[in-house]
Amino acid sequence: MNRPSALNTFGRELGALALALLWCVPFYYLAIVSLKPMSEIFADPVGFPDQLAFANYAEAWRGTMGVSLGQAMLNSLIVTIGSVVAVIALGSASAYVIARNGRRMGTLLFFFFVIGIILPHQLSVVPLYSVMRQIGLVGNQLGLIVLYSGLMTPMSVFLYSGFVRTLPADYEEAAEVDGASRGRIFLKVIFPLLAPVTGTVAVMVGMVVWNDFFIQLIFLSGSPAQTLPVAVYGFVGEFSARWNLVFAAVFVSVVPILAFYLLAQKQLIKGFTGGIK
Amino acid sequence: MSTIQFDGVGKRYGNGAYAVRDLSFTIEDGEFMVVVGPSGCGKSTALRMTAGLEPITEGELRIGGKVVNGLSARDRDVAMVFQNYALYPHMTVAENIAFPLASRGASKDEIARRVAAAAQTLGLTEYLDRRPKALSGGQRQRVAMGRALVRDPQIFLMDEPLSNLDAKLRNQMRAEIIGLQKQQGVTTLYVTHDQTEAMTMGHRIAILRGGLLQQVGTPRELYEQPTNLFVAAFVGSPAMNLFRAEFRLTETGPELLTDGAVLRLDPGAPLPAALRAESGHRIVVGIRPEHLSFAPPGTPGLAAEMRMIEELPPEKLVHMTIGADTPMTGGGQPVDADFLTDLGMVAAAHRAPLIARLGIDTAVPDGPGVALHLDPRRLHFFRASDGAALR
Repeated sequence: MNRPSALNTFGRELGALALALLWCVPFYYLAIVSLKPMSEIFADPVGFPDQLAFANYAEAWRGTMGVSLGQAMLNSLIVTIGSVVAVIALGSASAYVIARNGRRMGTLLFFFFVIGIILPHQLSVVPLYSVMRQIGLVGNQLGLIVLYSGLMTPMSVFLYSGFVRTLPADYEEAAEVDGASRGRIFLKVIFPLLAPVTGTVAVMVGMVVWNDFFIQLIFLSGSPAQTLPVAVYGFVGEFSARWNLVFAAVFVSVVPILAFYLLAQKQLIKGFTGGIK
Repeated sequence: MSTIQFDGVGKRYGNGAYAVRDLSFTIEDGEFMVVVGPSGCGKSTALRMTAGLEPITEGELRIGGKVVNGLSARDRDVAMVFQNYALYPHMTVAENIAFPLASRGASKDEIARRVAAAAQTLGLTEYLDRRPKALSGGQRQRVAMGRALVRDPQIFLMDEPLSNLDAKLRNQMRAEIIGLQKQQGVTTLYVTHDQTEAMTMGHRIAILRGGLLQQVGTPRELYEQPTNLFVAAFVGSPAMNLFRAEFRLTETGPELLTDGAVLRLDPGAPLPAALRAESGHRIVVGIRPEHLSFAPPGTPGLAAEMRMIEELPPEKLVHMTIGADTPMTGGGQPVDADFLTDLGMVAAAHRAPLIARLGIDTAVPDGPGVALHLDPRRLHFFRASDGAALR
């Protein structure tokens, strides 16, 4: 009886492996192009390069507009981590107040934030740019952190408040009777219980900010604070694009995300699937 | 002095409904007071008002002589054990127990010392590094107790802390809580819906129904001298036997008239003064199951029909019915009908159920028809209109 089930498993795993290979095709293409000399890119786009041009990486690393790829990566990290921390802090605290407030006030505040999710932020780019330039928040990381905090907090409030509503009030009441202040109750009791949704918010915000191009191009291009997407775009000129350098830069920019995922794989999956136990 | 005084305390909601109304009684220093009643009677609300988790809308609540109506929960110096324990799931047992001390700014040394002492008292020392989810129900209950007693509060509040445990563990924890309370000597307010728990644990018991206080007294007082029909029926298991009868004072002595049957009471039996004034009226008669016996052959008794016998060594419960109305089915003036619903009593017109509690070896007469002897000194009488005890 074991033989068919083992065969079955083998077949299933083979299928899964084939599917996984399909996902690897873009990475193969990315790696191949990043190692080709400029002349070979259009002549044989998918074939293996005759000569491995590792110099592409060195050149891509030097970056554009005086900002090295390493510096751009650091800028991206600062903006991403700053935004994630700010959104988690603002979102969780606001959602706690909304979820635990009186029904009318709580609903009103909740809808205020939901409107923030619905409105397309592209509409407000021009006035935002003008205001942010006046207060010195264009061309630096802080400006982007402020901007992303504003853009992403509504979604995090939406996620957090749904979760806070499912938390029994007993924990807070027990902490209150135990003599804890409101702030301590939030920090020591409520916030740790929100860990699953905090994981979701962190990944969601992190992905959006790390990958976003539009806002970063508008608010950072040409400045020393430019981030990875803007730096990569620097290789695309008005008349020609150096695709091998673009691909090399993209390959480098994928590394931190991949490393983070490999390190935090267990926690991330737990965060997405877990609840309070 | 950690007394708790309820002085006309009430909780009224926005829609005008009362959860608790005009609650007045005092819990003495070091006393174990149990508040008991059916679900929705306001007992948990009373406890939450004491804790400061529910605003008091009427009256005054004093803890240690000080009015605390306006004080928040964290400033009342009370400790509470919740029904589901409310242990912080992300903290270890040690951190859970330490939380109240840390919240009040105790030093690390003091926290370590007191947590160790509390763990020692409750037998939790080897579990200090575990998370609550890795503990059994009884251990969680102990952690909740530890969190309550670690900082020597003025009063303990307990909200049905044993209701999530199985029967065996419940008995064990009941004894442990009684022992701890005695050892610590802290004024305790304990809420439960289980009258057995109330009777065994409390120095005194307060019975609530529909937000109103029915009676406060020692377990024995409540059992032997209930002030009304509700207390009489609520306290005791099996409950007091209750049936309607017309009371008559005749020349030959007092009589109780049920449906077609007359029960003559001993002319010399001491009857409450208030009962004499009810002559000619229908009243409710009550008798505890252990005070019912079979009439010796040849002597008059109340005719009853045998239903079944439950053997529960060392005793047996004999279920019978008599030709009388229950307090619920009497017609005319209905006795405050809700309480029978509260108590889950069954109504069947003209057939009142009776239960006799007898020793397992007591002989039971044959046949469906038996005659019962009712000792008049053991009878309880209640006014039919409002259920008040006739004394």
